[in-house]
Amino acid sequence: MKEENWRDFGAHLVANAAIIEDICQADEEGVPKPEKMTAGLSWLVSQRLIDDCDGSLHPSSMLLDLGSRIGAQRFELSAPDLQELLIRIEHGCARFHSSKEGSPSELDRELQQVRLSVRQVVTHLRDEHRAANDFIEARYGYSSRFKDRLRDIDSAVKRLGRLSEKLMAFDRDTLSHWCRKDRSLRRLLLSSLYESIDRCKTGIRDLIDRLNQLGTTMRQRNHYRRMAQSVFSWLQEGNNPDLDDILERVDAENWIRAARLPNSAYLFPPVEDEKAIQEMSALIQAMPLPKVRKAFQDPLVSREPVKVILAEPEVEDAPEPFVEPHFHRMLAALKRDLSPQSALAYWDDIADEGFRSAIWLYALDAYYLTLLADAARVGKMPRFMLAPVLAPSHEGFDNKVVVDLVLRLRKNGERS
Amino acid sequence: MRAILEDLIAGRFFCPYSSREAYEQLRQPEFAAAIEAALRPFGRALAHLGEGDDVTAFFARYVDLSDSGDRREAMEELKCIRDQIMPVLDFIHLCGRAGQGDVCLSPGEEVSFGGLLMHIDQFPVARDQLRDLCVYPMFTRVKAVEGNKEKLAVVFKVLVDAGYLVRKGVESSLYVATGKMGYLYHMVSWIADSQKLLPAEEPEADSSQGTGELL
Repeated sequence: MKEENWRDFGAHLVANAAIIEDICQADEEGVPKPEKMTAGLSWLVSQRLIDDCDGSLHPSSMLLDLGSRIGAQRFELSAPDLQELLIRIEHGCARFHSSKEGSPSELDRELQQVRLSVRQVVTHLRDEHRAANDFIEARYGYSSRFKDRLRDIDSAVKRLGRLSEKLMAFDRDTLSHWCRKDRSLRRLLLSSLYESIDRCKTGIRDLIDRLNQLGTTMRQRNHYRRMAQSVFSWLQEGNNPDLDDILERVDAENWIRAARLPNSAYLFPPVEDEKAIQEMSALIQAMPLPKVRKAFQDPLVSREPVKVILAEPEVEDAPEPFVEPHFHRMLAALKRDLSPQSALAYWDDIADEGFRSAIWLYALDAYYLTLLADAARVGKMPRFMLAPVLAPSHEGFDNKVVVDLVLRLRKNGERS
Repeated sequence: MRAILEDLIAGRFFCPYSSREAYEQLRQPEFAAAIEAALRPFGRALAHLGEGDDVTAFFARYVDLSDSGDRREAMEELKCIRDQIMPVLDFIHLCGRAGQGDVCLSPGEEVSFGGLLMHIDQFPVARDQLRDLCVYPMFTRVKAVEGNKEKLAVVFKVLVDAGYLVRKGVESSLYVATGKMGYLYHMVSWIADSQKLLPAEEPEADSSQGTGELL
């Protein structure tokens, strides 16, 4: 086989897909041979993939196998005839030995034929194993009914059984005899083929065990289903189950789950046995006294009343706020000039206190708020007020920056 | 061992679907014997559903029912399980309708919350069936909620709390029937047998061939 052969094969299949499908679907009379055979169709006939009999075209068994395989989606894949392959291998081996006296190319060709047959067997066994494994991994096949699943499982078991029977024919002694001590054939038949068959036999045995287990599970579930249905119908008819009769069974204890055992108990002393009572009494008396939690001493309850004498607190005059004299000066200027007084201008004029104007404004604002709080307490608002002067707002920010405070007279109804 | 003992005494079932590790431990003869010995002083013994490799669940049973206290408790247990048979079978019936196939929720079988909800949303009959579940005292909490999803969530929660279902994964909407469902079926089988309700076994395909003896 060469890459080019595969390309030709694919191209001819694609070009003639419609008529190939017609041929495969036709009855025993086949499809009438077209008046003008295409090159691809002629190639398929020449390769015996399509049979030309009496002016009609029929599918070859190989084509049907191929179609069945590519169309199959379930476990029932088409299987090559292992017996036929075994015969082919036997004849191939015989031809290989005969051609040893011929040309090396003929020898190579015969060995290639045997290798191909061996590959077919190995590949087929691998496919069978994988398909059965997939079937089991899907747990119950593709059917939703228990009966159908059971039938699928039985069918799979039988199929694997037949496969294992066929593999019995691939006997090591027979294969070894065909090799006649030739190293190439021994490598092919004993190392490759026989080992693969041996692995497959083990795999099939495991698969059959698993399928049997699956079948048992399915049968049990089917039994449960039938039981549930019949009892459900019986209960729906108004019947009341009385399970108490289970207690009359000889093996009743095996049927009933024991109730939860409480994690506590009562002690019943043997009242008729004085000695036992005395021993128990001695035991109880010998036990350490129970720990007694100390009562909580509430100081408010337990202590004697004590007369509390309030000590006179020492009062000190608060230091004069540093803002106060400045504020009074500004206030005097306001009274005198009756015009608004800028705190910033005032501070710039005197600026001898060592503080920056920002700190002065901050302190002045706090002092003014204190004055307002005092005024609110006595219910008399001052006639002046301190109004902030804001810096122009930045387009990207919404922060308000106070750059000055202006002391001015309060207008009627104006609030701070 | 202590945790398993405490759970057995508390009436818990151990199956491969709810607690695989403990189940595997209980399958070991030496471990089972040690548990059995520890349960004996309490008048309990280790019981199992199924035989050999087919054991589906372990639980604690009474050693014998000659003790009047144990017998009284056993009667209570039978009453309790009796009252759960009909609601659980009704729920299985609902699942069977939604599954478009055979469903019996035997141990290990899965039920999809989403699939069931979709069916209930789609078919008024299923909606009625869900609503009717609340007539059973077991599912009485279903009455308290509105909406199909909420009602179904309550039903699943009740079944999980009762030990019949376990969530397959923390985030999964699939639930698996546990070994306790096998216990319920054990009782159902007794009813079916005692009342002779089970029809004759349906004939099966010949399965005498290919059972692993060929190799």
